[in-house]
Amino acid sequence: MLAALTTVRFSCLAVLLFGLGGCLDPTEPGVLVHATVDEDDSLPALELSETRLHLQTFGDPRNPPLVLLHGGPGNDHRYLLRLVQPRWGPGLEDEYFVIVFDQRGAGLSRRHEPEALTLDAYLRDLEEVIDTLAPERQVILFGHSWGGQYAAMYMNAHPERVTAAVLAEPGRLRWDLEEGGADFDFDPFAEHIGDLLWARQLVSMQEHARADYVASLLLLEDTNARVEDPSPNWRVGAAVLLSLYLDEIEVAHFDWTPRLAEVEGPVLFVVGDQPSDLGASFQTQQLDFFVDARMVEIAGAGHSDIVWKRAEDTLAVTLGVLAEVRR
Amino acid sequence: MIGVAGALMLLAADVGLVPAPQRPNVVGIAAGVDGSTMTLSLLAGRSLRRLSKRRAFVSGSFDLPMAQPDFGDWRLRAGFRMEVARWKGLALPVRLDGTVRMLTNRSVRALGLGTELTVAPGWYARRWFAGAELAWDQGWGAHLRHSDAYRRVVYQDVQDGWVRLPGRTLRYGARVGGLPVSWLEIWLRAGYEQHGRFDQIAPPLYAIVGTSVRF
Repeated sequence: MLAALTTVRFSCLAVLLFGLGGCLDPTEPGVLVHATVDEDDSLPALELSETRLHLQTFGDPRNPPLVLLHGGPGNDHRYLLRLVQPRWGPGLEDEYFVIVFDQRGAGLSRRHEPEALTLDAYLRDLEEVIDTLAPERQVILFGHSWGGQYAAMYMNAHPERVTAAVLAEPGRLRWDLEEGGADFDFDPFAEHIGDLLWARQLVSMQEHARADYVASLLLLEDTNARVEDPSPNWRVGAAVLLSLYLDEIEVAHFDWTPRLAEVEGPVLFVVGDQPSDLGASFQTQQLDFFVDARMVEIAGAGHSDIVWKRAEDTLAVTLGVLAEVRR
Repeated sequence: MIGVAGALMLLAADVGLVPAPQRPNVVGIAAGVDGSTMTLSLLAGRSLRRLSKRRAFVSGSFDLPMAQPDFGDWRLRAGFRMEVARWKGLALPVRLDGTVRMLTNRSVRALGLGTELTVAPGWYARRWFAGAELAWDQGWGAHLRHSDAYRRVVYQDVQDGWVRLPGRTLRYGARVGGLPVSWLEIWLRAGYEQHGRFDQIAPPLYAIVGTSVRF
């Protein structure tokens, strides 16, 4: 309690300092969250007809194109870079022309208002990215979590453009599939939810920068999505998380499965061995949507470990399956 | 113990009905969905005899989120309440609190300073009350210190220091309660709260029940 009183005295001093100015503006780019491609011209970017994406390419453009799709929605591609440039052994960039980007409104890509954050808009973005960087070519898709759903959305629209796919613990490919196991998202009494709710009192989710900051504070919290280190992200797009995830994916009657059987190449499902609502038992239901699907389990890995802490394990099985296509 | 007791007496809390001069002191407890899924509040206060016609009351609370209590997160409120208008039982109490908030997690250690202005027009009879409440909780500044882990995993160049106008919460609700016996009050406050237009993480509601004794 004495510490609290000391804090109050310290606080009174701080109030005086506010009057003198010099405080940081939380809405200014770069103060609490990373600047986006609209605020920092040095970031690699691709201008599309409706948005501007933070996008990088790796490897020889003459190699088969491979598009990496991150999860969330609302996270970014930083945590997938270990697949491109692993700590040891060959990476995707050694054999493929890797295209990886932060999706609309997320990471360091341009922010958008909620009405522009729709599944249809996301599909248009991916079509435009592929048509721009791999025109008239077939591509390989690698999607993690929501990124796996995103990949399925594209495959269902353009099965002829996809030679192979890797889906790392994707969410539901059809709205009515039952997820099983422990949901790591919404336990109202979980510590990470409690911390998030308390944080809102100090920093309002009033506009993009502050909302993204509060959402990004969650990245270090303990969830059952991982066994080991948290995977890195530049910025969580709160508007994407709320608009695309809560307003669209959670309520829409989507079905991205009718044409998945037209994908001729192999489709690899990668799952961790930790209990998860998106684990092996759930994914077994989704294998049947494809003509050539198989599943691999990564030992000692949770939902995010499969592409970060255990990235090299996932990379090894991925390169193995994709080698079949190249042969 | 004396220090703790003294500190508790310095804390203040709101009540539904300001205690009469015969029992000017109040201590109490409240719990509910209040900034977290479960928050526990310790309450204390005292009515001011010199301003008894205005039903003036100094009061406040020390609040702890209890879903996963770790004492790294807390809120301290202390303030003053007074009736600015009254006609028979119809009254307009206004309350102004200073607030100090602490947030501690793996990403940041934050100390927030602010004020909370509450108006609660309603019917305040001798033994019961019912009214509306409108509250404007404004953070004027917050000191943020980010962890090394946050810099490594999220944003290397995040800035530490005081940020201005970091947060605002608006509340629109109702309050009801009464004194079943002269020394005990029970009350309920509930309503809608707004933390910002991107705040849809949890239902935008608050609901708090409390009780206090007067002596």
